[in-house]
Amino acid sequence: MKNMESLRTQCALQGALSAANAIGGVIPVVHSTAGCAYQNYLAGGLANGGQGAGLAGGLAVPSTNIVEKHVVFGGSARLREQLKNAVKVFEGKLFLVLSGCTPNLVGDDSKAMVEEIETQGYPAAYVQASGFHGSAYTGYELAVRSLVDFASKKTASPLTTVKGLINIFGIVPGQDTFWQGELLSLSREFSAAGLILNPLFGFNQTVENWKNIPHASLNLSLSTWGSGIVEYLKEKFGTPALKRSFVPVGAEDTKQLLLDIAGKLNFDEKQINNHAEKKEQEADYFISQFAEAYFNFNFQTDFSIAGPLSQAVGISRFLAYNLGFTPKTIIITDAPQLKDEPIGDILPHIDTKVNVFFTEDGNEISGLLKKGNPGLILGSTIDRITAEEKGAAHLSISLPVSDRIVLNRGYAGYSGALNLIEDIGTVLLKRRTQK
Amino acid sequence: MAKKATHIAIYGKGGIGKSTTTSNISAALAVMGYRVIQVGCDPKSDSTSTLRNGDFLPTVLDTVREQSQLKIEDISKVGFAGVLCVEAGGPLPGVGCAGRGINSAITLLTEMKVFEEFKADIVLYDVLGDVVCGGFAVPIRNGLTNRIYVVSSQDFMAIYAANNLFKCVAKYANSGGALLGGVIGNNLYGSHAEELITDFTQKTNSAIIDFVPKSLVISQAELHGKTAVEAYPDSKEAQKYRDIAKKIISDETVTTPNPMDGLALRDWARGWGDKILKERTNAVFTI
Amino acid sequence: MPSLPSRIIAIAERRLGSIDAYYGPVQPLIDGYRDGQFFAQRIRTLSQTKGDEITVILQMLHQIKNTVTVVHGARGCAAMQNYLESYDGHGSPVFSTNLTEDNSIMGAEEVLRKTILAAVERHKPEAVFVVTTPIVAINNDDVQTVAADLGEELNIPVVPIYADGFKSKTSANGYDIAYHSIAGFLTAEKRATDKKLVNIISSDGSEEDVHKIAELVTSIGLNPNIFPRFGLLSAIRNSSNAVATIGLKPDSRVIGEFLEKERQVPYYLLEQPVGPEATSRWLGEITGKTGNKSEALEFIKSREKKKFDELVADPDTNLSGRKIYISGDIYTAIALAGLVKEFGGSVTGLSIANIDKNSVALLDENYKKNGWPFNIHIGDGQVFEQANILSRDTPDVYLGAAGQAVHAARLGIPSVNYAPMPLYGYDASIKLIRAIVRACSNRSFVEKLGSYTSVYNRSSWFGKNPNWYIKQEVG
Ligand SMILES: Nc1ncnc2c1ncn2[C@@H]1O[C@H](COP(=O)(O)OP(=O)(O)OP(=O)(O)O)[C@@H](O)[C@H]1O
Ligand SMILES: [Mg+2]
Repeated sequence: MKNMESLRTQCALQGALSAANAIGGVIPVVHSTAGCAYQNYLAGGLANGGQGAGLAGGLAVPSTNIVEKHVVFGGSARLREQLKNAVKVFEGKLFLVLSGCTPNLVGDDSKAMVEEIETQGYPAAYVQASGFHGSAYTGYELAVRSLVDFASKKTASPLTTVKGLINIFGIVPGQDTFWQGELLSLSREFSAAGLILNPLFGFNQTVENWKNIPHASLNLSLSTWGSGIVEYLKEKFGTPALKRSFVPVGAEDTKQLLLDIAGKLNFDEKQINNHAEKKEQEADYFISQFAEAYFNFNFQTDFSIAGPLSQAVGISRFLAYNLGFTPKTIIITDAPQLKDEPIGDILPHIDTKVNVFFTEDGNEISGLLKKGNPGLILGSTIDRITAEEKGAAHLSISLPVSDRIVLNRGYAGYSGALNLIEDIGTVLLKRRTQK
Repeated sequence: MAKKATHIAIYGKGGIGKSTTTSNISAALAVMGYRVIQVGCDPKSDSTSTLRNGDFLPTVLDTVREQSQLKIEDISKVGFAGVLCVEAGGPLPGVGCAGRGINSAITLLTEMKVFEEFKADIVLYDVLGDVVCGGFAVPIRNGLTNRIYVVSSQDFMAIYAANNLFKCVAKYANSGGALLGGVIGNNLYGSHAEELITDFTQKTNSAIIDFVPKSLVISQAELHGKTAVEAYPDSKEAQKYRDIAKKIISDETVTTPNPMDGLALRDWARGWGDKILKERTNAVFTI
Repeated sequence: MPSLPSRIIAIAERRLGSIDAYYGPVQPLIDGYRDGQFFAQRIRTLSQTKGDEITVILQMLHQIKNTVTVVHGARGCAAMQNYLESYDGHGSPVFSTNLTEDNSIMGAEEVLRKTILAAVERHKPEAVFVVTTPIVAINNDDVQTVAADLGEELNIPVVPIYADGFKSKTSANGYDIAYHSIAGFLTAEKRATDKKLVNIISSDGSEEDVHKIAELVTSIGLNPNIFPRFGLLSAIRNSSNAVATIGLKPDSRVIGEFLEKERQVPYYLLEQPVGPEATSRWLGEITGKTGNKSEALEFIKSREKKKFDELVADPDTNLSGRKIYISGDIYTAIALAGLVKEFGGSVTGLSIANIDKNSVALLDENYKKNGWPFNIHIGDGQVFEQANILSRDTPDVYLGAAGQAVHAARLGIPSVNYAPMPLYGYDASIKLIRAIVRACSNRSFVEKLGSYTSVYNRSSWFGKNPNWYIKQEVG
């Protein structure tokens, strides 16, 4: 049966909009009915760690708000008028038109309208991202492709390769709650290891960063949602691609990723090893501190987790291999198409039978989380109810996240793992005091 | 309570003569003394032109764009013998959604209580071509119309369109959708036309209403911007339309059509083709 | 079978002359609606996102107990359920038929059917709401038939709500669409009038406010029958037996008028009971309208007033000298304007979501009373226009609902979002007044925000009239 109840991710239009909102200077212009962008704001801006949606987000998103007459007679003229006016009122480096279900069903030629405003000298691009094209993750992919096409036209020639410059994809703004934190944390780790990460989204990222994409020596994808993109870039610019299915949390996985990159780039591994060593010492220091609480309060537990694949797997691996926690159930909420792919080797060497499910149906998820009485549940804020019923500790890590504010916090990399330890330790402690 | 009008929808392949047939029926009914409304459900907006000498008539949808407080006069014209002419209107080819247009125009007419206020006895919808999308099926659904009629010639493509329409009628038959009054043969020529259409109706559980031949009178009337009923009331064509009109208003018999599936339809058509070809060939030889 | 004359209700523009775009003096607006005329439609040639019929309907249905809602459309049309589940309290389950491109072309009646069946199997609700969206409005899925068939098969009401998502420019039209269906499918014939039973229509707002209303009504010896939000379906069925229906906002009009016309339950749309004066008037009106001579009323009035006066003596609730800009739906905005005045403040501007032939009377009345010197803005959201206006009006505080307050704050203006605050009754609104005073007295956060970059091309846009992109509609 199709996913149907309490769906966690939004639609393609909304995913594309979240992506646009995460790039400085991009003014999204939504060509659709009024509620499309508004629902994105409610679900992605407010129910996602209260991050909001940036200056050109929320109620500020320009939207054509088409009504019946535009459906019957076509809405291209409405879009033309909207664009003509938006470029005057909004300060933008790129006007990104996102067209939704309705204009696409009635066949509006949004692309022509975008080309028109471009010939008038305004930077503009177009994403056809109807809600019926799929989930917000698909919308992210669609938006990234359009942005790549737009920005690479403006890339300064010659297309020289900058050694160590890496574009990163697959961490999805607005859907992955910790996207900003992960990007910041990975940027830090990469630069300490002598690499330069081009995060493309979030703080300090503008269209200028997108223009550098063709200069990169590697394109890195950390989830299913980046693999199509890095393939596309390989075709387009001949840049090598490295694909991993999860975001690394903690020392081992982070180091492994850096070494894989070094291998791909023929990069000196020494700097990476030096950096890793320092970081591991730091981590060991804090983990040894954590030991007091761990044993005083008997933190060792089994856990179940629900979230997008890249995150659920990254976190599970850290908990399993570093904290001695036992995974019971892993529910992948973003990638139903992977159902048939083996992911058994994602958690090797664990002496337990892990159940892996693919669903984003809220009802199914809560049913699955209840099974096996895990002591810790990592999922959405909605899963808190299930956790409370079962007396489990609960931490919100995936959409919707509405019981915590998440700004630049992340779990990726070396320092991210410490964040994760703090957050999990806190909820385990809280459950203890609540009992 | 005001008596309820009978609502009739007329479908058929593009160019087959729906508007001609509908307008002539409207004209005939009006002459008989009925209060008639004809609603053109086609973005071309030419359904009622022979009822009003080709006068300009703003369409329902065009007017909606401009005004929020609408009066019936804004969207209709009284034509020949008092027929109230309405054109739903719609987008230019290649833009927008004509199907949704039909839906919203009919909704608007209902909201404005046009049928009640005009005290119509009968409302005829002349619906564009094949049922290309859900919007064009609106007149069939939800108990909006009482009966459906299909105009068809003996051409295979026209029969094919009629068969498609039968599929649509059959689909909504169990949920309060309108059922089939029958087939009006039009533009007929050659010796096999009537026989062929009759065979089709027998195979598909539908009825024949009448046959209208291809006729100079009808096309000449149209060139004068008129229906045959108005321009040549004494012609046999006018009489034919009066007969059809009488039948449509008084005979409420309907059937749930039983359309042929694609292969069956093809085989059926082949069979007829072979038969006609053979007879023709024989004819040649006998000369 | 529904006892309604027609499946759908005309959009607010045609039915009520609803307008959602205007900036200018109040008088021409009022004149535009004289003698049954409608003010000429305006359109925006530049607009920002806002709620629509679907969002209004979903927030309402989410709090009708023992029901499920199936949104028949692409998954994004139900995306806000994450928000509702998060911040609006645990409510009724929301399903999405999660339509794909294929469904949008081939039709999706079967998907709808399956989803309804699964929803009923999982939750055993007393009723199912089916909300239509743009895709099905365009491909013309026969939702009516699916709903009717399943209603029979499952023996519970399956209520189609033809939202479509692009019918009206006024999102409040969503209430009308929903109430039209609720009236037809969920009300019952009148049995006998219960002299103590008063219908209270709760279309939006917080649960706290609804409880407050219940408490007020109970205090004068009546029994509140609250629906649809926070109510049971039995309350809707019972509504035909009430002695009166009280609407808190004009969004109750369709259900109120239905009960009045079809079930002989008189409908009263009263001003909102915000603050002591309005609350006393409100209670007085209800006792009068229900023929209930409550001795308790005078006692309550004087007791609450005394309590209230003590509260107000506090310097933290003094708004004198404060100029306040208010944004919201017209009923709330005017109730808040009254409140602000009661506490010594003044109103420098109003932005209201929409206006129509009915609510213009309220505007007229208040304009006559207060002779507002300012231009009125009509727009749902449209924060770029508000930013322009605020750059001229420079109020001390901006009062707005939900996502709007932050945009005023980004201009450096102290702002308060009143949406999550309790407002109804004698003293609930004191929290809001305190928040206003607090916002004025410590501006550090908004000053920081105000100095951050802006998304607007200020020099060009703020130099233009705020109504620059509002045009009278022509073909
Ligand atoms: N029986 C007939 N004899 C002669 N000419 C006819 C006959 N019926 C229709 N016509 C002519 O055929 C042409 C098409 O007819 P009409 O416009 O009525 O078709 P239609 O089905 O309404 O077409 P459309 O699908 O384009 O709306 C007209 O010129 C009309 O005069
Ligand atoms: Mg025609």
